[in-house]
Amino acid sequence: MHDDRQDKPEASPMRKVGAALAVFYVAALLLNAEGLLRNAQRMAYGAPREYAIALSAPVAAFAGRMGVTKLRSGIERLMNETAKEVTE
Amino acid sequence: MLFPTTVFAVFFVFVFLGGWLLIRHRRLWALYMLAASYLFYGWWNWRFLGLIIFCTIINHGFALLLARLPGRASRTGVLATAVAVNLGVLGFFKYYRFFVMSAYALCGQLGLSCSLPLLEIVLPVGISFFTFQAMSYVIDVYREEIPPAESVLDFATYLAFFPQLVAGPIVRASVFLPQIRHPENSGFVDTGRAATLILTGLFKKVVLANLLASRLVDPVFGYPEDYGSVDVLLGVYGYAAQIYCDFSAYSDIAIGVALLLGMRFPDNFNAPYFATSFREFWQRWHISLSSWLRDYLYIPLGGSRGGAWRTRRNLLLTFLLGGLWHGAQWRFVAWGALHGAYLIAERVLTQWLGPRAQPTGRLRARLVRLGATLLVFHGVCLSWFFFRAETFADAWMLIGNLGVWRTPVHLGVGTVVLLAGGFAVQLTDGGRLEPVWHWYNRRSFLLQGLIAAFIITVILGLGPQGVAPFIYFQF
Repeated sequence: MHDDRQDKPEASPMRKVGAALAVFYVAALLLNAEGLLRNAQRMAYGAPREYAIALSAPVAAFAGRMGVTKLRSGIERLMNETAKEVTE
Repeated sequence: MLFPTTVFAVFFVFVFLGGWLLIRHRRLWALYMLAASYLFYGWWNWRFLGLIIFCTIINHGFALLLARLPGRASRTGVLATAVAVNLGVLGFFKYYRFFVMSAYALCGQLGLSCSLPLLEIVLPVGISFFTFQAMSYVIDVYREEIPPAESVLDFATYLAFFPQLVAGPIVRASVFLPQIRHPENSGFVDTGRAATLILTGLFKKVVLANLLASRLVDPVFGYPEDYGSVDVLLGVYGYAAQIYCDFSAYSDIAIGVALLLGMRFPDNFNAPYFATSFREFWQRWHISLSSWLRDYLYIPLGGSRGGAWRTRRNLLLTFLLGGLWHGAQWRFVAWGALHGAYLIAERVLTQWLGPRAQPTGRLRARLVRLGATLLVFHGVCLSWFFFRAETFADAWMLIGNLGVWRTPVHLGVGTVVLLAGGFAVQLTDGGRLEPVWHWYNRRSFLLQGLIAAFIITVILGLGPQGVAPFIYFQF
C-alpha cells in the first residue's frame, strides 16, 4: 500500500492533529478562563448570557485555583499600565 | 461569525470532527462542509442564504450549458448573460445607492430634475468575493480551462466554503474543485503550516491591527483638523500597517483553517511593502484579486497587446474598476485611479530609461532598490489617504496638513514599536516561516497543543478588549 507520508514527510496524520487540537482547546480554555467569564458577563442580558456565565464560571474558578490564569492577567495588567503611561 | 471569537472556536470543533470522520467519503464531506458554511454565513444574516443559493444554482446552470453548447456564438451569448446576471446581483446590492446618488448629483449640477427610487439595501457580507468566484468559474468553463463541477453540491461547496467566503482569498475553481473529489494527501495535514498561519494571523489582527487602529489611525483620520505633519505621517504609516495586518490576517487564518480541513489555497500576500515597483506591489498585495483582475479584465480588454496607449487605457480601466470593487464610493475609484496612474508612469519611465534603469555596482544597486522601495511605499501611502478618509475633503485636509507643523501627539515609544511590528510582521509571509512549520510538525501532539494555547493566550492578553470586524468585511 502506498504511504502518503512519503510524499509529504512533514504532514501529520489526522489522529495526531485531532489530539493536538484537543490539548489546545483544553489548555486555551483554562489559560483564558477568566477572560471568557468576563466576556460572558459583558453579553446582553438574556438566556445566552446566563448559559455562558453558568458554563464559564466553574471553569474560571477551577483555573484560578490552579493559578493558570496568571499568564493572561499579568499580560493584561502590563498592557493597561503601558496604555495609561501613553495616555498620561 | 468572526474568526477570533469563542463562537467560532466552538463551531470549528464540530466542523473539524465531522470533516475528519467523513474524510474518506467525499460526497458526504462536501455536504457537511456546505451545511457548516451555510451555518457560518447564516449566523450573520440567514436571509442572504437565498442569495448565495441563487448564485450557486444559476452559475452552475450556466456552466453546464456552456459545456454542452457547440457553437461559439451561442456560448458567447450564454457567457455574456452569466456575467450580466452576476454583475447585476453585485450592482443591485452593492452599487444601486451609489449610482442613484451619483445620478442625483449629476442632475443637480446640470440643473435637471430626476426622480429615481432610493432603496435602503443591506450589503450582504462577502458578495464581492463570491460573485467574483462564480464569474471566474463560468469564464474558465467557457474558455475550456476547466470542466464544470461534477455536481451542484461540489460547486455549492466551492462557492460557500466558509474559511474564504466573506473576505477571500478569491480561490479559483481550478484550485478548489479537484481537491474536493481527489484530495492530494487525504488524512494528513501540515499542522505546522496551519498553526503558524492561524497564530500569526491572529497576532496581526488582534494585537497589531487593533492597537494600531485604536491608538494611532482612528484618532488621526477621525479628527484630521487636529493633527499636524508628524502625526498625519504616522497616521498614514499606521494605516498602511493596519490594513496590511488586518487583511493579510484574514487571508492567513482562512488559508490555515482550510488547511486543517484538508484544502490547500495559494498565498494572498507576500511582503507587499518590500516591493521595488508598483507592478511588484500588485504581485504581492491581495494576489488573488490582482490576478483575477489581470486574467478576467485586463487581458480580455487587450492587455499590453495593442500598443502603448491601449495598454495605458487598459491599465487605468482595470484599476478604476478594481477600486470600485472595494466600495461604492468615489474615494475608492480615486484610489484605483492613483494606482493605475502609478503603473502607467512606471511603464513610461522604465521604457524611457531602458538599460539605464539597471544600476551598475552592488552598493549603487542596493541604494537604488532602497530608494525604489521607499518611493513605492510612499506612493501607496498617498493612495491610502483616499481609501481610509471618511470624505474627499478629509483626505485633502490630511494631505494638506502634511505641511502644517504642530506639536506631535502620537510620537512615542509605543507608536514606534507598533509601527515597527506592523511592518516587520511581513517577514512571516510567503513561506518565510517554513523552518518553524517543520520544527512544529516534529513536536508531539501534546507540545503542539500546549504551544498553540500559550501563544493564543499571549495574543489575547496583548490585544485590546472586544473584537473589531475585519476591514475587508465591508467590501
